[in-house]
Amino acid sequence: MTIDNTESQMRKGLLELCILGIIHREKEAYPSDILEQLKGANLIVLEGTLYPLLTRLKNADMLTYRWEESPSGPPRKYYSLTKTGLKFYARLKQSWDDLSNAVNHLTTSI
Amino acid sequence: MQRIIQINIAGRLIPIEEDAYLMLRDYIRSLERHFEKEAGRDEIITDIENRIAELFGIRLQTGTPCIDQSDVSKVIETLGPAYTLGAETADPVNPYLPGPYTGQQQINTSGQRRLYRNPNDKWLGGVCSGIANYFDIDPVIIRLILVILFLTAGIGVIAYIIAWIVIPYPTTPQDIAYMTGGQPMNFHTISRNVAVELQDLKKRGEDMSRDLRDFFSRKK
Repeated sequence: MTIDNTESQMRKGLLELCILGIIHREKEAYPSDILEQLKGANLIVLEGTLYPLLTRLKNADMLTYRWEESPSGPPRKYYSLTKTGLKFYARLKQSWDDLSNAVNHLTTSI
Repeated sequence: MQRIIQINIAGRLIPIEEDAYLMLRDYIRSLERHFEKEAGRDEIITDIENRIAELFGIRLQTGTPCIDQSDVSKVIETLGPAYTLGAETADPVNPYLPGPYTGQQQINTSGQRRLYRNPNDKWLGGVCSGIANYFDIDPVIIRLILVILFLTAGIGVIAYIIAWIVIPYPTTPQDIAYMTGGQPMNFHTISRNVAVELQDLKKRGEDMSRDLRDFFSRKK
């Protein structure tokens, strides 16, 4: 059991929540933008992990996207939350808030 | 000397050195194999290709005339080798560990080696280069011995197939570090391994015949 491993497991579990959170906050976001924010927050190391997650969320009807030409480079996929996605995100966020409160409470020394 | 070719990736024309192209092609094929069972496979690959095109575009804007091998390996490092990307059906592999090829001995194997088939250098199942890796010798020597065994008594064929089935395939960075330590073999894992390998072999056969066709049509 290594610290790196445990840390990355924690981050991995929260990645979906964070992706949905970023898209929710931005209303619409394209993958490279999401990547930048995740990397900035140290939540993702390998970029390739994002794409399967996005596709799975899309196939699960949480996300939808539209194409938009970009000023430079290939056209971009702009993702946004569907109704189901919005509900899913709200519940996930709620569980996270509860969980983090509970964890903080348990791990804080008096 | 290097030949520079043009490739079209995600609708973008990219000048790339031939070696670098082959490296990139192998990477994309490894992704295709990795996401084989995934429903959104084509879409995932297209998205990743898009990202690759974007990264190459950024690189070309810095004034470099074409993409070379170091650019491709940087891109692979950024995106992550296929087996770290967590396919739906795959065994739980930690996708956030940095690539094992770069940081080789971050995982402490205390000099210990285990026998694995080598996914990075294989003709059929990676048996020979896995064995060579274990003994730290050139895979060509093992392959030569095997060919001689083929020719003399045909023992080589059977020995190879058995080795192919029995020697595990590395799936996690730890595995690669050990060239690697495995799950116990049982009927289930063996039959799964065989199925995966057959698929892989079929893919390789197709790739090979495509390459041959390309080669001959170029000759004409």
